[in-house]
This record gives sequence, structure tokens and C-alpha cells, in this order.
Amino acid sequence: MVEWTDAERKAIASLWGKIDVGEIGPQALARLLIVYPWSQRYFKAFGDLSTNAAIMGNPKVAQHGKTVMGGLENAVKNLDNIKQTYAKLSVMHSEKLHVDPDNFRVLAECISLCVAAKFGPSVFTADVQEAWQKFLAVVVSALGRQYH
Amino acid sequence: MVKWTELERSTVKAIWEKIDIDEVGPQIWARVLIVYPWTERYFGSFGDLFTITAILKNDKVAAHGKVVLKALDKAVNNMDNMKRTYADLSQLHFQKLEVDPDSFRLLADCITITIACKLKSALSPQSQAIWQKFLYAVVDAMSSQYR
Repeated sequence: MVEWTDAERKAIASLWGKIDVGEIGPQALARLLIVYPWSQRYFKAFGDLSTNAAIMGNPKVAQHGKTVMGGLENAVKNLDNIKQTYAKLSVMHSEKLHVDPDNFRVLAECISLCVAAKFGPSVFTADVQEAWQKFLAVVVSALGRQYH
Repeated sequence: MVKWTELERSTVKAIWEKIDIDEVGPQIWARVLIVYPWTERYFGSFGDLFTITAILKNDKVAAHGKVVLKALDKAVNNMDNMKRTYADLSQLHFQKLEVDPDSFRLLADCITITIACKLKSALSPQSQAIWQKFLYAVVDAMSSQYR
């Protein structure tokens, strides 16, 4: 089981408290689709993803970004039980959506980058980055857990 | 050889021009040691790395951060020739320093995060894509002499 120090719990809760999922979620998903364009294969139903401007203006991308980011709330509230919390989502991404689990890792990178860009070095300090990236790594691992 | 468009070349240079090596070099290096603590194994001679505060205050960490960023300047100025530019450094890291090449990827991650902190929304998704392509090429060049 993952061990969290008090400092890490505090850093994650504090950073999460500042994050507006409606703002960061859409940005992170748009970045995923632009920076790792092969990820667009999962979103054919989203309409126009043909240019960066189209992606950034696409309302389905924005909505889905919000949904995904909002899903992190479950992890924040269940730090000691993330594997169990995401078991069903993991099965869904594997068996129904057929998403390559490496995409979770690169989405996590995009989320971290958006958070860093929003809050700057005085809030997203090195120790906060450590706690946040550890947190996302655990989420990524839990989402990949049910794949076989 | 990696192909670069005019837009990619000018974007990489534009981002690099905004970076003050003396300011961000130390920050980047401290982040690597704090976020990926196993990398401390290479820096036994740096003194106190036992706490986050110690790392952030450590002069040798700061100095080394500047050295590494100065080496990145070579890549910015030799985008068409990175493998040859970094052949000696790659050899050094492989044979003498015995650095796990996955560390280069972790460093690239911290470089991008630090630049995002500094540039904020000026690091647009398109710029991010170009910058990451550049860093992947650097990581690749640094790994090239490993076998």
C-alpha cells in the first residue's frame, strides 16, 4: 500500500483546494490531444479535432476534460484506497474503451504542466511537485491495474 | 536525423531566450533531486541532501544546475547535429558516471515543469509540443552512446 507522509497529504489537499477542475481539466485534455496527437483516436465522436484551434475550442473536449479532472476528486478523498476506488474505471478503460494505459501517464504529465503554469513556482514548489506527481503516479497505476 | 520546421526552430529559440540559466538551472536541479529522490545516488559528494531545505540551499546543487543548462544551450544551437554534439557527454555519462539513461527523461520532465512555472500560458500547447520534441531529441542524443 502507498505510504503518504503528513506533508504529502497536506500538499495534495492544499493544491487540490486551489484547482478549478473546469479550468484545468479542459486545458489538460486539449494539451494531451495536441502534444500526443495519437490520443485523438479515442475521441472520434468529439467532432472537429483537425487543428489546434479546433481542439482548444471544442466543447466536447472541454466537457470531457472537466469530467476526467473531476474524477481525481475521488482519489484525493481516498488517498489510502486509490486502487479500490478506481477498480471499476480501470476495467472500463481496458475492456470497453480499449485505452492504452500509457495514455494515463502522459495525461498526468499534461495535468502537472497545466497546474505548474497556473500556479507558478511559489505555489508549485519542488516539494509540492513531488507530492502531486506521486499522487498522479498512484492514480495512473490504479487505472492500469485491471488490464490483463 | 530529426527534421525541424522553421516554426519549430524559432519556437525552441524563443523559449530558450526567455530562460535565465542562472535562475532556473538551480531550480530544475533541485526539483530532480526532490521529486525523484533516487537520483541523489549520483551526488554523494554534494554534501547535505537529507532534507528538501538542504537541497534547496545546497551550493553544489545550484552550481550543477547551471552546468547542465549551459550544456542544453549546445543543443539549442546545434539542433541538426545533436547526436554528434552530445557524443562525448553521452559517453561520459555511460562509462564514467554510470548514470541510468532514464534519468535524462526525468530531468527533461523537470525542465519542462520549471519552464511552465515561469512562462505560464505563454507555453501554449503548440509550444509545449515543440519543446517536448526538442527535449526528446536531447534525451535521445544523451542516450546514444549507451549500449
